[in-house]
Formats: sequence, structure tokens, C-alpha cells
Amino acid sequence: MSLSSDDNRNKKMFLNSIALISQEVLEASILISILMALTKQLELSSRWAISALLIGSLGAYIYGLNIGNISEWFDYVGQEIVNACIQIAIVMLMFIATFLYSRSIFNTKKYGQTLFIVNATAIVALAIVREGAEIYNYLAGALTHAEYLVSVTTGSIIGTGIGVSIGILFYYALGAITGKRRHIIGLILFSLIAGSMTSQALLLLNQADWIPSTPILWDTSSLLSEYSLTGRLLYGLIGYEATPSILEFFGYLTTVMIMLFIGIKKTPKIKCLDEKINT
Amino acid sequence: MSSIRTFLILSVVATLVLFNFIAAIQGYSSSMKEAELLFDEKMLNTAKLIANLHVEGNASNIEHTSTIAFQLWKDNKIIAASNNAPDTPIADFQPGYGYINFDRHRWRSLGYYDRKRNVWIALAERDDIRSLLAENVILKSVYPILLGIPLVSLLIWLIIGYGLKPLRQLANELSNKKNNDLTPIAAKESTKELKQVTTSINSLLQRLDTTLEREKLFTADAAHELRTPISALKIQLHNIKQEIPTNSDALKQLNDGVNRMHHLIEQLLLLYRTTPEELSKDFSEIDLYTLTQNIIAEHYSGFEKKQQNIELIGIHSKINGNTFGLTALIQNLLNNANKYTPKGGDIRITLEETESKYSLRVEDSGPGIPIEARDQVFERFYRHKNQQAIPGCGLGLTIVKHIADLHGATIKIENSSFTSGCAITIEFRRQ
Repeated sequence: MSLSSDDNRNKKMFLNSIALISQEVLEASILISILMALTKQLELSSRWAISALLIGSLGAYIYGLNIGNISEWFDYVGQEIVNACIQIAIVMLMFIATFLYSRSIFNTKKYGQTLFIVNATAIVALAIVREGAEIYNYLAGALTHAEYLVSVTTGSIIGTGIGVSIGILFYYALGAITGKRRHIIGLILFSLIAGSMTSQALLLLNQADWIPSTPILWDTSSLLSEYSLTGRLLYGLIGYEATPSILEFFGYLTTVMIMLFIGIKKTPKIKCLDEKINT
Repeated sequence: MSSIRTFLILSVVATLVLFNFIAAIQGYSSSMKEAELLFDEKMLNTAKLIANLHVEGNASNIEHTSTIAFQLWKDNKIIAASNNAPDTPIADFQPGYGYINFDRHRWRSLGYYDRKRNVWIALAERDDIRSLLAENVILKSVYPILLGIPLVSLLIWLIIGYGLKPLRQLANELSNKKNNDLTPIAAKESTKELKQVTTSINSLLQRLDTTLEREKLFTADAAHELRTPISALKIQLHNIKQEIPTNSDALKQLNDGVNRMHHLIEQLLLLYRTTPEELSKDFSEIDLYTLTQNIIAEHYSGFEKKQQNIELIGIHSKINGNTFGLTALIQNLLNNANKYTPKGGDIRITLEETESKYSLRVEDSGPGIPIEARDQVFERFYRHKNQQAIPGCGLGLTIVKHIADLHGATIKIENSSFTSGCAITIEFRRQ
């Protein structure tokens, strides 16, 4: 007796929608919050976020619309490869943003600020393309069943509400931290998100069989499931994974180290600047 | 935090949404569990009912829905079954609930034993349909939360806006205050928290007013008091010049010192006379070109002495201003140009008119003002280290800025169109 694959999926469409949408929105909203907090610290306008949201949404729609064709690329692993490339591109842009941010504090030259804003716009737009396309695909599939329209729509609204609300509160919480501490916390969070992006990219490349599988390093799913609300929040924040492979962990750690190296390199000057301001 | 209102609205609404939505998920989960129990109880009642039907053979004639299937087993043989049930048992021969997969669906199953008739009733209900039915009912309790959020957000927006009204009024009152208005703020509809702020601001304004008044009086009195002895000194100096040789170094230095002191006192007096309350009393229409022409003519000897080429280009443009103030402004600009332009250098005054403004531009071929010092030159007694050798007291451009501000004009310093030197442009708004 075979079981319809739809049955289990459809059983909890409401909760599934909340889980998927909130995770995707949360990832993007935390990234926007950190970048907006950094922009604010540099006393730059945050209007770039609106452009990034619009460009990203349009990109996500186009990507989602063509996902069928893209999936057929590279022997039917096109989606994994494109997503991995987007993640790697975001990490590279985050390296540049950290470099500019660490130096912009002292160097208020116009082109440095413009470059930082363009960079931040690109990071957020690409993240939205990636997350938005996932949401688009999910909704496009789920909403073909008229009977699940209500539960999917309600779940999506709640998921979006949770993701956006955490993003807003996170932005204000970061804003409440002052001085050098904000720089350090912002840098650490930014590094952890970059690490998470690298780890995701490696997982996708592994799924596409482009890189070899490595053994699982640990399993904390019994302690904290990736699918619980806390697990999802930590996934969005620091890229928490209950069962990471050695390669994913190595990629994560390397990215974090590089990011901290770029960002911390100039930190002593902040001390000098603070002292100067205080005197 | 760019706006207290935005911060309060966003953070309150975000917290509200977060907690309400998490509560809705919790409510949904516990209601779904309750619904499962209810459906299970209904299944048990249905099983008991089937046990009492006394049906034998295929039960296809029994009205049932495709979402429910049942079998009646006796001595390991089916004695009755719904036509959608398979031949194999759809529940264990043990009392209780479980799950089973058949007919391409997942079913909730129940095994029930009827002792009287010695039959097992195996009942199954489509699990997805049960969930869908329960979800549709439970989600109805979530709608008010979803629909209520925009309404509550609107209310929060209005309430916070109303709550911040006194603060907005205070901010408006402060921003509407003129530069020279140091009168206390009226505390209309002041709240307990703002009363303290208003009291502190008023106390500060009062202290500021007293200090400024004292400073003004001191400057004016000191300048007035010093003017007489300086005049006496100058006369005595003139007399000494008649008696001792004119090429005496000591006498020359004394003469320069007295002149510098005289200039400083005159500038201090000018600064006092160009205070807003003094100047704003007497505004009239002034032809800037004629005024500049007259000032050049008046001071021509100074330019001639240094063999400087001075030219005035422009049109006759009339602006609303104070003659005394504008004379002092142009005099100071020309005096600076004369002082800093070397012998045989060039000075150009240009008067231009656009749709929205009149501009007065004084350019010279002197050493110019370094970019980093351009904001500081308007500060009182500021003198750039490169200009210490040229006599001056550092009040000229302070007076210029002071008078320009009073006329609502803007002032900017750029490089001049000559090979060196600076260009100071004063832009007056057209009425």
C-alpha cells in the first residue's frame, strides 16, 4: 500500500508555510538589519535598502519563474550550482563591505561611502533573490491546491510577520549598542552570517556532487533541532546546523577568520579616534 | 535613532506581531491536538455503531464516505467491509489507535473488539482530511489576530503620535525661535516629563541671555573706554614724531602698535554695532554696485599705495539691507583683499544677478586661505599661522559672516580665478 507523497506534506501546510517563509525572511531581514545598523554607524542614508528590496524582489521573481530551466543546467543540478554561486558572491561582497566599513570610519571620502552603499545594496539584493526564489517556488507549488490556499496564505503571512519583526527588533537592539562595542558585535555577527553562507554554499555543491561528501562532525539535533523556532532563529543569526559535515565546518570557520581579520585589522585606530573624541 | 515616533511604532508593532504570532502558532498546535482527540472519540463511537448494525457480507450497500473505511472480522475472516477497504486488516487486532497506509493515502486506524458478537471492527479515517477539517476550523480563530494587527498598528501609530504631540510642539517652538530670541518658552499643555525639560531650557536661555548681555556690554564699554586713551596716545605720538627723528625704529614700532590697537578697538565696536538687534532696526533698499563703488573710492589710496589693480564688474542690483552693516561688510572684504594681496597684485569685485539671488564676489591674488582653515576663519580672533606676519586682529571675517547671516545671505570661500588667492562670495536672496 503506497502512501501519497502529498499527504504528509499537506497535513500541516500551515506550519510548513510558517517554518519555510519565516526562515527565508529571517535570513534576509537579519542581514538587512546588520547592514542598516552599520550604515547608520557610518552616518550614511539607509535609502539603499529600499532599492535593494525592489531589485532583489524583481530578481527573485525572474529567478523563480525560470527555475525549471535553470534546474536542467549542469546535468540537472543547475539550481544547486546557481544558489551556491549566489551564496559565494554574497560572501565576497561581504568581505569588501567589511573592508570598506573598517576603513570608512576614518576615511570619509565620498567614493568610499558610495562603494559601501553599492556593496550593501548588492548583498541584500542577491540575498533576496536567493531567499525570494525559494519562497516563490514554495508558494507556486503549494497554491496549486485550492484547498490549501487559506492555510498556506495564513502561514505565509505569519511567517513573514515573524521574520520581519525579529529583523526590526534586531536592528534596534544593534542600534542600542554604542561605540566600539557596536563595531565589534556588528563585525562578529556579519562574520558569522558570512560563515553560514559559505557553509550553505558547500552543502549545495555537495548536493550537486561537485565536491565530495565528508563525515558529519557532530549531531545536536536532539538538543536543539534546526526546525524549532530557536533553531531557525540561530540558523538565521549564526548559521546553526545540527549536523554539519567537516567540510562545511571548515568553510564556516575559514570565512569567519578571514572576515574578522579584515575587520579587526584597523580596530586599534578606533581606540585612538575614541580617545581623541573624548579628549 | 532617527525618529522617536518611528522607533516606538516599529518596535511596539514588531513586538506585538512577534508575540501574537507565536501565541497563534502555540494555540494552533494545542487546538490541533484537541481536534485529534475529538476525531478519535468520534471514530470510537462510529466503531460501536458499526458493531451494532448486524451487517453480514459486503457492506457496499451501507452508506459511507470515501474518507471512512471499515471491516468486520470474525475468526480471522472479513464478514463485512466497506467497498473502499482492502482485503487485509486496516487495523491491528488490538484495541487502540494507529496509522496505516492504503489507497494512496495515510489513514488513522482504530481496532475495536465487540465481546457480545465476538467481532473485531477495524475502522480507518483519512488523516489528511481530518487535518484539513481541523485546520480550517482552528485557522478561523487565527484570522482575528491577522486582521487585528493592521488595525492595532494604526491605533498604536495614532496613540504614539498623540503622546509625542507635546514634544513636537516644543521642538517646533524651539525651531521657530529666532537666533536672537532668548525669551523663555511657553509651556503649553506641558507634560510632567517635558516640564522639567522646559524649565531647564528656560533656565539655560536666561543664563545665556545674561551672559551675552554682559559680554556685549563689556565689549562695548571696553572699546568705548579704550577709544579715548588711544586717541590721546595717537596725538602724543604725533607730537613725539615732531621732536625725534622719524626713522627711529622704536617710534615706528610704537606707531604700528598703536594703530593695531586702534584697529582692534574699532573692529570690536563694529562687532557690537552689527548685532541683530542693532542692525535689523534700519533696513532699506540699497544699490550694492554704487555702495561698493563709493567704498572703493573712499579707500582707493590704500590700493594705490600698494599699486594694486582693482576692478569692479557687474550690474546695479538693489537689495534690502542695512547700509551701515553692508558698508562694514564690503569694507572688511576689501580691507582683507588689500592687506593680503601683494604689491602690484590684482583685486576683482564682481556683482552678479541670477533668478533667485544677487552675489558679491571679492577675489584677490594673495596667498589664499587653505581648505582646512576655511571654516575656522569666521571664528572670532582666529588667524591662520601663515598670516601671523600681516597685521590684523582676526575679527574681519567674523564681522562679514555676522552681517551676511543677518541679511539671510550665504558665504563661501573658494580659490580665486587668479593664479593664487581666494574668492569670497556673499549670496543674497532676491526678494
